Amino acid sequence: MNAAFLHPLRYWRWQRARRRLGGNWPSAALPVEAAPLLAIDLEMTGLDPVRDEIISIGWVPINAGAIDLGGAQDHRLARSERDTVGDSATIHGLRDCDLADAKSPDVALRALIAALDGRVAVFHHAPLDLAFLQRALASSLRTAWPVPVIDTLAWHRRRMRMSGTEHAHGNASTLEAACRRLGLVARSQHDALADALSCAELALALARLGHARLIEVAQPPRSGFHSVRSQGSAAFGPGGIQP
Amino acid sequence: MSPAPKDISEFLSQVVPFDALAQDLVGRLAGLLTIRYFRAGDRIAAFDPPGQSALFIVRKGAVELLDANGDSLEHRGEGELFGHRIVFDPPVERYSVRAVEDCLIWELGREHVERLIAEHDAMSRFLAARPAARLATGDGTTGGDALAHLGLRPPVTTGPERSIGDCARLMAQHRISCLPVVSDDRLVGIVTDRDLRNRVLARNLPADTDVGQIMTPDPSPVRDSAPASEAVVEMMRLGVHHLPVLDAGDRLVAVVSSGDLMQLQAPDPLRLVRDIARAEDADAVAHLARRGPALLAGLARAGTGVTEVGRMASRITDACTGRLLELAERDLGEAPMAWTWLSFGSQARLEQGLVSDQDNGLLLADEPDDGAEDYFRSMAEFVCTGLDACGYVFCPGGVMAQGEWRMSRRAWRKRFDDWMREPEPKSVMHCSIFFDMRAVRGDSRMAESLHREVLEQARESDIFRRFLAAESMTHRPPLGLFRQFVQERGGERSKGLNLKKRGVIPIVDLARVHALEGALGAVHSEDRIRAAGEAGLISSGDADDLIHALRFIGGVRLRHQARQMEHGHKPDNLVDPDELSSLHRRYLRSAFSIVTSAQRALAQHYML
Repeated sequence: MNAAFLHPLRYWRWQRARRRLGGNWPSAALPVEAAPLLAIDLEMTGLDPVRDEIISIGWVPINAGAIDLGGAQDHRLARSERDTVGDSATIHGLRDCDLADAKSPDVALRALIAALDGRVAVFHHAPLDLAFLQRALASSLRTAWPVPVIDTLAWHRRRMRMSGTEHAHGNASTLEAACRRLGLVARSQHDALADALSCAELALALARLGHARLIEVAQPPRSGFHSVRSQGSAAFGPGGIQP
Repeated sequence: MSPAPKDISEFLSQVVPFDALAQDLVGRLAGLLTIRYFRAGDRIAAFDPPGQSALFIVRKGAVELLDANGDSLEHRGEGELFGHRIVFDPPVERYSVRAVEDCLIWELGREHVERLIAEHDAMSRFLAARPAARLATGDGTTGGDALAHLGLRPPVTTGPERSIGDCARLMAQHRISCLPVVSDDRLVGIVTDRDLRNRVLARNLPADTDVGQIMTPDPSPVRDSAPASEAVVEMMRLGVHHLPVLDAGDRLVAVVSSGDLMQLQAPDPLRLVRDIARAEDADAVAHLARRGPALLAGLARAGTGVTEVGRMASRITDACTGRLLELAERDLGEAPMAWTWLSFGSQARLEQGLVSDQDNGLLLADEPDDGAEDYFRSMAEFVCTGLDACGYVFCPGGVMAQGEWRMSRRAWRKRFDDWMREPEPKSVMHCSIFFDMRAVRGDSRMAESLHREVLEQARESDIFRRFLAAESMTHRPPLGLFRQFVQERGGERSKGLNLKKRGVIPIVDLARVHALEGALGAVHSEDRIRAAGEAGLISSGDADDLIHALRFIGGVRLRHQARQMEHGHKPDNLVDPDELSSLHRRYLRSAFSIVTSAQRALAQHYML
């Protein structure tokens, strides 16, 4: 339970986001991974959401089972006062984002919110990235995380457990290792956009092995995990491309 | 414009034909791709007909192309395309594609493909004009747009009964210099400005003469499916400036002029050949000829195929030789007997590279007396020296008309007889290029009859052909090709790869052995291989493979040389594997494996 949701305004925003999403939601009968997706990856200065910061965000949309590189975006974020210019900004009025080639976090986050509209977010190891994003959204835009989330790491682990291959291959769940195991492009670039693409490719491959489960982020009571089941998918079926 | 991860554009820039596009364009295209995932066994798409939809690239995994009955046509793997028209043997109208491994497939939308085809020659050649099998297209050069795609206008024509006065008015009215004569929908002749001058005015013919009486009957046509470069070569060969273009049903669809073709490709080899033919003296010939290599390198860079460039290079050499012979005759007076100027080796085969040595000889009708000997020695020295000045340097092996290779037909015949009757490895090595023989000027029938006799004798001389086959094995393709080195036999590694010795010559030699085995009159290696396939000496599939391998290796070599010239270096045949893209290395490996298996088959046949 996230304290932010106790605030009535935040809760209302979350509901609004869900309603907006509901308008574009394909059908309750479809599996979650058949929804329009947005695969996202962050690069951070460290692993602690309280102390460390987001350096860059990259994302790639997936529409009807196809990754659309035309919708890919890559944003470099300016660092906050804490690490660099610090309090001096109050005196000369210049912040890091004015000095560097990077965008203010607001700009990048607004673009992310716009890109997320009507989509389900996909992360590899979602809890970490989400923790950073939730903090950033709260402090920059005073908003909550708006959409449901799929975690490819959990998804991949579940697949390995079900096929009984978990132990034979050790803890091979880093993005690169998961991609390699499924015969995908194994990128080791630590570049937000490239990793978002790897995450998207991993989601496509996993979708052919079994349905995804939704993580309802920092969501009120009911259950932490929720699965939307269905009888098959138009978007991911073996129907092929009609040229 | 959205950014695409670097690895996308890096991969795309290695994919033929995208490798021919500018870096920033490839970067933009990378941002337009969509990516799909398929599991082994999934049906990916059906193309009916191909070439009408998006283009697909295999990024990971492998796919299988299937015909209408679901039979496998071919497999395609990483870095290869489908969705466009592909030439299969036998041809198929439509194909479908199925994943044979789990695949990541990239898709480039139809609208983007259409724009690329419209704006980039490399793409239109690959995707639209003449789709060829993988290796043939792998060298990125299939010889330019088909004539049918040039937008030539339907011709103004006349019947054979019209008077030449009316014809002249018709030509003036339409501002054309060439009028095809058609009867019953069939092309029967052609009339040009020059004919009206030379055959009408100069002979005082009345204006009411039927055009049928003065036309050039049955002019050589080209097919509208032929590439423009083939029309250029044909014009160079025939020494004409207009060619009628016929469609598959033999109907006249256009007349293509050298002007039409010059607009396509400047600087223009046709113009160079014409200028050489008019050159004042040997210095002027040399001055013009030295522009040849740069011109050909430009054509090669612009995507003209190695076969066409080879033909053009040889025709330029022919033009120089021909003009120098005319100049020699002008100085020396009429020859005391019939003669033929012969070319050997790559010039004879029409397979010259950007730069080339000279290999030639002089065939005389009779045994020359002292006077005739003086005459022909002067002629040979004038021409050989002139060619040397043109950049066709003296043959290091001395195969030149100014040396010992100036003989009567009987003496030539005896030489061939000696080689074939008592072959020994050394003589076989030296004599093989004489079996690639072509008349450049003079009495061509004399050369043809000599060539025919030699071929007949070679067919009967099993032992000689066995020596020749053994000789052809001395040049072998490497075992492997990696980024850092070339894998040689016996576990050794070398840094550079001589594409001529290790790739081109083995195929040329193979083609020669087969030509002699079947007494095939062809001298061009591709023609020889094709003829050997038709004569059943090798399977037609093997013939196709060898031709594609030759074109591919030759294409890589040609572009390597063109690049060297661009940087002001002297062209050579030594390629550093590192300068090849990984895809080209892979294609080269498969081309080499084709050569190796053909050599193995030959060795088996001759029990070597």
